[in-house]
Amino acid sequence: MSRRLIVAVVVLSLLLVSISGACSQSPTPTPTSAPVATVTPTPAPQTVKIGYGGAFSGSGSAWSLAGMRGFQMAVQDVNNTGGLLVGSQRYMIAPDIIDAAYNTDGGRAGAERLIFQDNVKMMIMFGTATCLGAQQVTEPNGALLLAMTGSNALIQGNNPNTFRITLALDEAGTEIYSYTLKNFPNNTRMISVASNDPTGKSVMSSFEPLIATLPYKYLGTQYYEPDTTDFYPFISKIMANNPDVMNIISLGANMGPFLKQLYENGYKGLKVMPVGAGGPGDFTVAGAAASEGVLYTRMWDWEGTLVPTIQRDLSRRYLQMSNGEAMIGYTLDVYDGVNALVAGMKASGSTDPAKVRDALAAGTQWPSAYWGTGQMQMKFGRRSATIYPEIIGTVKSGKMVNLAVMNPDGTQQ
Amino acid sequence: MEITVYFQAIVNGLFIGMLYVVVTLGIALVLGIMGIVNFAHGEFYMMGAILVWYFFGKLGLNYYLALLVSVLGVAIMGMATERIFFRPFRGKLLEAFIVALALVVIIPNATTLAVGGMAKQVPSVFSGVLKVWSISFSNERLTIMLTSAVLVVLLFLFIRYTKIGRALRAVSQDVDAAQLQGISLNYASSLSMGIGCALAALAAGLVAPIYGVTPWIGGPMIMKSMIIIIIGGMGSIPGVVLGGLLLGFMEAFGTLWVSAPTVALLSFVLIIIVLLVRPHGLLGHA
Repeated sequence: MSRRLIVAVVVLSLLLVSISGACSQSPTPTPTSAPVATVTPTPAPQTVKIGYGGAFSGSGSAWSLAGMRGFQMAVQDVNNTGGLLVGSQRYMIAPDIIDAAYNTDGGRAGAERLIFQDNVKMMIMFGTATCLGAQQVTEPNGALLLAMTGSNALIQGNNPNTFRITLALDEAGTEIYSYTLKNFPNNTRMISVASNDPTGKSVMSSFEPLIATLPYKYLGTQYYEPDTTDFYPFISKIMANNPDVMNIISLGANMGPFLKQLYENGYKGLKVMPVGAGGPGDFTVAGAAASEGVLYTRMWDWEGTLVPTIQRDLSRRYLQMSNGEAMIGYTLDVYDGVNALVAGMKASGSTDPAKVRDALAAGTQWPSAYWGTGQMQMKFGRRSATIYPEIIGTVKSGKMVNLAVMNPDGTQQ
Repeated sequence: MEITVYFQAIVNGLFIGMLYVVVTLGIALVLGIMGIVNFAHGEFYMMGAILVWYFFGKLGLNYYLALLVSVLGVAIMGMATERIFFRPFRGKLLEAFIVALALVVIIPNATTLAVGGMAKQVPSVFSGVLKVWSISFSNERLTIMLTSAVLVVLLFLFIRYTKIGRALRAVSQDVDAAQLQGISLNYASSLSMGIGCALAALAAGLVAPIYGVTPWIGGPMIMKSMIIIIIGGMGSIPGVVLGGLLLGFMEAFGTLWVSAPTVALLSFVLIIIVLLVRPHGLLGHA
């Protein structure tokens, strides 16, 4: 075999792999949980389809899979109580889970499949890039998209069929920076790190306007390549700017190694995670010393006392579904998303996505898993996004510790 | 920018480069002996890290024992892969390449199903950071750099001076002549795959406490390895060392001077330049 031919094949495949991301994002079949009905009302219930799309393979898959389990638990909870009553008709939810990858092409293809092949008119998509792709199909076709994204890009402009079911950085940031400004007034030089992909770019475009309003000297955003594992060169560049407040955004599974390498390089300033900690696992991977003092926002506390039992119940069920992997906050976002759609259908008395959309936009509330059934009724507010108080926390000796509960206006509860 | 930042970049480049070298040596060996572009090599790297996590991070086994189990386990996996998946396609470049791509999809997805996709914790074994003139030398990185250097030398000596090593070289130079001399092609292929995968597992086991472990760490690593092989020259151990260090320093200094995303682009520009100027790589032979 000629070496020239081998070189040609290698070069060609390198280009193909780098362009398509085939190595890490190839679609794989994903199990779809069958709904379990325990009550059979009369007349016989019909089904309403709700879709869920995310990346189920590749480095972005861990969070999408965590969201998928939230979706499955929510569907199970609705169906196990006899489904939902829409007008006089009872419906069971038929879940439709698809691999929509972690990029815009995958999101668009996923939405096309859900709408045109499976006849799904309401869906939850996970990840900014995935949602950006899906929205190109959902909006013109009148399908309802509940987006799991920390970016405002999806709900800007004329996108009436899109809602965001988690906080964007400017919303979450209002709360955490109220806290940092009050408690760490001597830290003034701010820098952000984000991934060099549609997610990182889009999230930062939502975040930077907020940063401009803060009394920090902003040193800019440093973008790292997705799938980076050795951050030393990147951190050297960051450290050369001498920051003392670092916003750490969208690192996903690499959060732990990043924190560890940051510590090894001697960074002493504030480490702020304004869109929140994925879960305690980030800090376990980094180790206690490297995680010490990290400030984060979160809306969950299933290991603590701030929230009622539903989060702990979901956490227990999650462990059984995941071979022992711990639940993350995004699971609850998706769980809430299904409940939002259910509330919208009940309130509008219809499964027509346009009517459900109008009901949600008009302020229909649903019981939130974040702050507990009966404690806080969630609704879409400003710019079709949920707004709610957040827990500000820090890491002490490897443990996540709550510091304060902040309201969306920056006041402390 | 302070001068110490540049010294830090040298240290960073050395570490990253040496790690790339160890991983890439395995794939270069397989390519040289078997003529197979084993795109699944990164998945054996991943399996090495996963096994160290499982035995050391999860079950609490001694780190060195876990590393040994991982290296031996992955070597056996590699040899089994060669026997089951690659041997039937020997001499068929395209078919073998497609089989390798299939493994790239199957192995990490199966691993995700088995152990989950979240990052796994592997505790530090050589914790602590040495600070010299504001330059960080983590003990883990120093250990890995030294281990990598020793491994490269040992592999070079093995290939160059042992009977088995000479047999492997003979197969890589002329399969027919080697077989006429009584060298078993099956044996050489199996051994090269075993050694290659063992090297990948060793590198992964060493860096697992630094980089963390997920089922998806193999893909990015194989990309780097392919770049190094093309730049350094196929079948050349010195070429792999040169290519690995070049890429390591390019990442360290490029990130500093331009940006991390630009460095990713530059590595492909470098490939094109090398192919135009020296189609067989910097130290490869026609």
